[in-house]
Amino acid sequence: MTLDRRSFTQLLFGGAVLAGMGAMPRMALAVDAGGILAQADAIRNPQSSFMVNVDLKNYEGSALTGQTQVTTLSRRAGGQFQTLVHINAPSADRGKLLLRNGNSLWMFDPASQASVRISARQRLLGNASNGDVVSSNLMGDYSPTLAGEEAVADGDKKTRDCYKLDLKSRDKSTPYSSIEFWVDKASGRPVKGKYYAGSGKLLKVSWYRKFANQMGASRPTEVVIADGFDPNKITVMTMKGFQGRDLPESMFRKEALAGFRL
Amino acid sequence: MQGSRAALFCLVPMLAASMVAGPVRADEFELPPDVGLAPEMGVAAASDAALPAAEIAAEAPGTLTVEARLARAETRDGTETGSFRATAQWMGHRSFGPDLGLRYNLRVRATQVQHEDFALREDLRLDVQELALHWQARPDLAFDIGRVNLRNGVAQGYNPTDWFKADSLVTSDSADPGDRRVERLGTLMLAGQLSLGADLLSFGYRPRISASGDDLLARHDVVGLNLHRTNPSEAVFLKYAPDTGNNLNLTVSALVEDGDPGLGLEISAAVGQSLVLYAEGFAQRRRSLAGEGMAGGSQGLRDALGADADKGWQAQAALGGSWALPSALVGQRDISLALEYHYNGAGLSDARLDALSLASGADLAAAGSLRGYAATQQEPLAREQIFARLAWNDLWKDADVSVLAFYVPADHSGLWQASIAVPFHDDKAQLSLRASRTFGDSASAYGANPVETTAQIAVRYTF
Repeated sequence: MTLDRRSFTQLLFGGAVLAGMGAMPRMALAVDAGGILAQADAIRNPQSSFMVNVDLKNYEGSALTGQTQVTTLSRRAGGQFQTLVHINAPSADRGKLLLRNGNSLWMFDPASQASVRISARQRLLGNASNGDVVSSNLMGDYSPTLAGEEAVADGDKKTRDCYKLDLKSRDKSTPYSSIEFWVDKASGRPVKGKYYAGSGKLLKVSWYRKFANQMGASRPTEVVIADGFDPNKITVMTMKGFQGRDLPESMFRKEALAGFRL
Repeated sequence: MQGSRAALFCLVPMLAASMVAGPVRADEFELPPDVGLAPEMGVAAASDAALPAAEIAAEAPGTLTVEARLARAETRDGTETGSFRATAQWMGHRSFGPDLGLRYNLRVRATQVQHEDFALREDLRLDVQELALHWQARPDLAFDIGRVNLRNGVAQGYNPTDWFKADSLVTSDSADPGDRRVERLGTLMLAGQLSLGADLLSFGYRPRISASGDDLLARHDVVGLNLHRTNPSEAVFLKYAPDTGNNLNLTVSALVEDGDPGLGLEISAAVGQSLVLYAEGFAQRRRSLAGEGMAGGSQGLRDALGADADKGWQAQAALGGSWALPSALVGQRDISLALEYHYNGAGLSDARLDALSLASGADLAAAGSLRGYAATQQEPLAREQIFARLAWNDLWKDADVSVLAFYVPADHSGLWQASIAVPFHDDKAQLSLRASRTFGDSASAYGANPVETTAQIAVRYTF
């Protein structure tokens, strides 16, 4: 496939982030690990179905090496999200679709009208991934414990007093075995995440920044993702506004991909 | 199989190198990187400001791709032939309102074969691969009418449920079934899809087109639609994809072709993070490949191959899985391996494959016609074969490498193909190299292919 590997994972990651901008007003900060995580989920994830345009820029060091533009549609389904990503650019990938529905992941190519099923592992590669973010409900996939309080740098390098949460995977289908997740004590906003494989290897690190009002709440509009294996490989995802949309359940089926229209 | 082994041996050192590279120290991630903070990205400057709602991406005016391809083929007797082809392909969707649109995929190609004069009528072609109206009659009901590339199946190397693949290829540059799906003509049909909650019901009708000769619908110079190839019979079909949860994917289907029924099944599921298992099968009342495709031949050969047997239920299946190598082994690299078993009940059993290989004299032409027919139908000639593919995406920057192989255990013949695609110019252009080679006895399932070795280089630009 010609779609850049990192872009692919970023697309899904982007959907997750976008999904996190739902209309959840700021609420009183919970004091237990589950409550803290649920609040961060509520800031990251919208409470209704929506679409958003996402720009993804890949860097090697400070050099821009690639760009991808997509439109992401996310449908709230129970406690999780179904996600459909339409690639707008580069031109060689225009019209390709990525569908994620739980652990079912498909790539559709309009040139062949063919859908290929891929594994969750394939979306974990590179320095960005959907993982917890696209599925959007960390509480559903991971078991949190409060590991303490730490001051960490946020996406703008400002120090924030945070709760540190240790998240353990609830089952083998989750994209990460464990996550370290920092949540701003004052605002409940997500600040930073470190994502680990079962081997203990660090897969990626993400920082949330550029909070702005989106669908009635202040949410991050940019995520910086560093490759856990090579910190020089950076991806910056920028979300350009959101809008609520009624999205039928049947749209998020493999058999419907050939008929999909934006 | 020597070629594919050699290719695999080349990959082993790279894999080993990837395993040496360990993770970076965690404290390198104390601070975020400095990229992406340029003023023009400026949303940060307006922290907590409201952003405008997303605009729906404007409908692209189609995607135009131009390609130049040089190819060289060598037969078993050492005869070499070169060719050059220039192609322009335009595909996309044009809306005529909220509920009506046109899907199109058109290609113009000009081919110059070495030592042959260019003949416009023969060597310039317009391929109408897809051209269909799409009508969203209701939110839950849509129709397509026209030439549609309906593509079924979940396997990578062979799709028994892909009913309309026979005789559909406009070019045969690649042995990779994934490439071939791009190179085929759609089928003239009326198709619909009905949403039943999360369930999907698809249905359609394919009329028989009996055009022939230089008819515009058939092989007319330059612009012939070749509908006689894609619509050789009347067919109705039904597909039902029930909601089976967030992992298991299931589609059941039925096809009636000129009164002969067929039933199909596709199923796939992920096992953990790295493994996807899948299966598809199709059983249809039909004749065997030998019965359908062998022209003439001695009675002895026809009896040996069962060419005169009546129609019966023939089962076809593809079972396999794809495995993405874990990060503990390959780090961030995207390397995957697919392995499939293919069964074609309409193909030749071991004994019949052996009988075909013993054809001689006047029977050679009949044997050749059968082999050619199987290739045209895109069905395995042998009853059983193995398919494997190793794919390494972003081997170097965004370059993708793929090695695939088909292998017939009955006669130890097969084919391998290696390819590399290197994007450049902001991913709008791509340089690709491809080589393939058959192996096995000259009368075997794959070894009998007149072309033994191919090599190609292509440059493509997408606007």
